[in-house]
Amino acid sequence: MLEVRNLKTYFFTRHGVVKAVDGINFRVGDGENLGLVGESGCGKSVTALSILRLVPSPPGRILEGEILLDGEDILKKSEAMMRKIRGVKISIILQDPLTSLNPAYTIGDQIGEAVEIHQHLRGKLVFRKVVEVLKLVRVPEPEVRAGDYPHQMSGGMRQRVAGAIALSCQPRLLIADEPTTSLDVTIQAQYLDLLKQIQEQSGISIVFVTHDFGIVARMCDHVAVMYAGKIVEFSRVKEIFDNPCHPYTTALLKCLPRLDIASKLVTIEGDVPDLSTLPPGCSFAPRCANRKPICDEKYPEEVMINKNHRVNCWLWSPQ
Amino acid sequence: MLDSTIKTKKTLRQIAGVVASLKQVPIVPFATIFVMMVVAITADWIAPHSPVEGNLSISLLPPSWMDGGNLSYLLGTDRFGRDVLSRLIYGARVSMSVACLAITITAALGTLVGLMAGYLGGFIDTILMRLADVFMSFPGILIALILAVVLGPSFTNVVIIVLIILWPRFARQVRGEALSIKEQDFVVLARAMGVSSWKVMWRHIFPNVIPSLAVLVTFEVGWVIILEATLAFLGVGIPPPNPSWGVMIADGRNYLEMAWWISFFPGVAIGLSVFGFNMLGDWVRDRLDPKLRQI
Repeated sequence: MLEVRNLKTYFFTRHGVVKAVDGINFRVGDGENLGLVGESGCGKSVTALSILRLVPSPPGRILEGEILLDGEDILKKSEAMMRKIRGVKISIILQDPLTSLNPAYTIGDQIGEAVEIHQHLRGKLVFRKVVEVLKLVRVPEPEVRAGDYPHQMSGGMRQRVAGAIALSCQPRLLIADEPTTSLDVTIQAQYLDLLKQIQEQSGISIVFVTHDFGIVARMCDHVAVMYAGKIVEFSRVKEIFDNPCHPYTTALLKCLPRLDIASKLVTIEGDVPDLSTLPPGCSFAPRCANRKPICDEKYPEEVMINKNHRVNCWLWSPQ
Repeated sequence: MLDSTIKTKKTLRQIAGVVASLKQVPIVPFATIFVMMVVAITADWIAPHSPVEGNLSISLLPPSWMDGGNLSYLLGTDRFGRDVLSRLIYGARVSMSVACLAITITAALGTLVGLMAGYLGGFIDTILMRLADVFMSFPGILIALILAVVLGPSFTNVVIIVLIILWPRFARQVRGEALSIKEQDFVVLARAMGVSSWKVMWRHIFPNVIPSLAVLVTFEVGWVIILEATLAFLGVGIPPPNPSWGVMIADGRNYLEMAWWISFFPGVAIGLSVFGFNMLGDWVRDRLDPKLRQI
C-alpha cells in the first residue's frame, strides 16, 4: 500500500548539508504495521514528515526518491493534490498531546475542521461526525466533551482527541510519531490497545515511529531500524528479536533493561554522528564492536538474510 | 444527569467565571476610558455650549470656582469666548475617534503583513520586513510633520499618517509571534490534515497572536492620542474649527500666564487618557502573560 524507494531528504543549512534521510526503502502492506525504530536524530521523524511532504522547506528538501501510495508517486503531485491526500489518505499523530491541540478552540471545533474541509459538511452534520469519531476513540460523554477546551482535558484524553482528529476522515495510513512517549505507562497500554482495536475494525495501516522496542513487539508486523538517516536492518518483528543481525540492532536490544535478571544497564559507547559530516563508510563503524577495516571505507551493501530480513553490514556480506 | 442539565450547568459555570473575572478588573483605567468613551459618544447631549461658537464678550473667563468665574462656563472660556468644557468634551470625540479608527486600521494591516511574513516566510518575509525596516528607520514625528504638510490637514490624513508610522511595529510583533506559533504541533497537524495556508493563518495562528496584539494595541492608543494632539498643536492636524485637545493647547499657548486654564485642561485630559490606556495595557499584559507561557 505504501512503498518508499530511495528517499533522500536533506537540510541545507549554513553549517553544511544535513543528510537527515539518506536513501531509505521500505514497504507497508494493507492492514500491516511498520515500526520505524532508532535513537533521537536518526531521521525517523523526518521520514514521517517526508511522507506527508511537510518538511520545513527553506532548509529542508526532498531530493530524490519515490513514495508510492497505492502505486501513485505522491512526490510528483502538486501541493493542491497533496492537501487532498493529507488527512484523507494519510494522517499523523504527534508526540506531545499538549501542543498538538490549538488552545483557542474546543476539541469539537478542531476535529470538525478536517471534516468540514474534506467531507464538505456543515453545522449539525459536522457535530454528528465529531461525536461519532470521539466514540471511536472511546472518549466518554462525547456530546459534552466536544465542547471542552484542550486545557480541560488530561494528557491521555488529549492524545485520544489527537487520534480522533487523525482518524476523522478514515485514512488508509496512520503515522504515529512517538504517540505514547508523553503518556504514563498505564495510559500508554490503553492507547495502544485502542489503536489495535481501531485497526481491526478499519483495516488501517500504521507506521509507528518510535525508540521503544516494546511498542514494536506489541503492535508491529515489520520493523526498520534506522541509524544516521539510513535503514540498517529491516525484518519481521519476531525475527528481529530472535535473530538481530546488525550490531546496532543487537546493541539497542541489549540496552533494554531486563526485569527477569538483575544486570547492569548497558549503553552504546560514543555518540550519534553529526549528520552533516558523515564518514564515507558505515556510519555506525566508530561505535561498532565488530568493526573491520572495510567498514570505514565503503558503505555496506544490502544483504538478504532471508526473504523477510535484510541488513546493511559487512559482517554479513560474503566478503 | 440529563444532557440538558449538564449543558445548563456548564453555561452557568461559564457565566460565573466571566463575572468573577470582571471583579478583578482594575477600576481606574477602565473607569477613565469608559468615561472618555461615554463623553465622546454623548458629546452632543452633554456639552453645555457649542464648541465652535464663541461670545467675545465673555472671552477669557476663568474657571467657575475662581474670581470672575461663571457657573455656566465651568472651566472657563478661551480667547474667542468658547466654553472650554464643551470644547474639551468634543475634543474627546475627536481624540477617541482618531485613535480608535487609526489603531484598528493599522493593527489590521500590520497583522496581515506580520502573519504573511512570519508564516509564509522566505522571499515574502524578506521583502515585507525590509519594507518595515525602511518605514521604521525614520523618526516618527518627523515623518508625521512632513506628511501632514504634504497631505494637508484632515481627519483621513491623520489616520493615514498614523498608519504609515505605526504599521511596522504591529507587523514585526505579529511576525515574531507567528514564527514561534507555526512551529507548534497543532499547526503542523492542521497542515497534516490538509488545511490550506491561508486557513491555517486565519484559524490557527491569528487567534493565538491576539493576546500579544491586544497588549500592543492598548499601549499604542496612548501614543496615537498624543500624536494627534501634537499634529493639531503644530497646526497640521485636524483642521479648525474642530476642537482637538492639541488645538486647544495651541490656542492657550500665548495665555499661559493669564488664562492658564485654556491649555491646562486639555493637557490634563490627554494625560489622563494616555495614563488610562497604559494602565489598561499593563493589566491586559499581566492577565494574558501567564497564559501565554502555557504555550
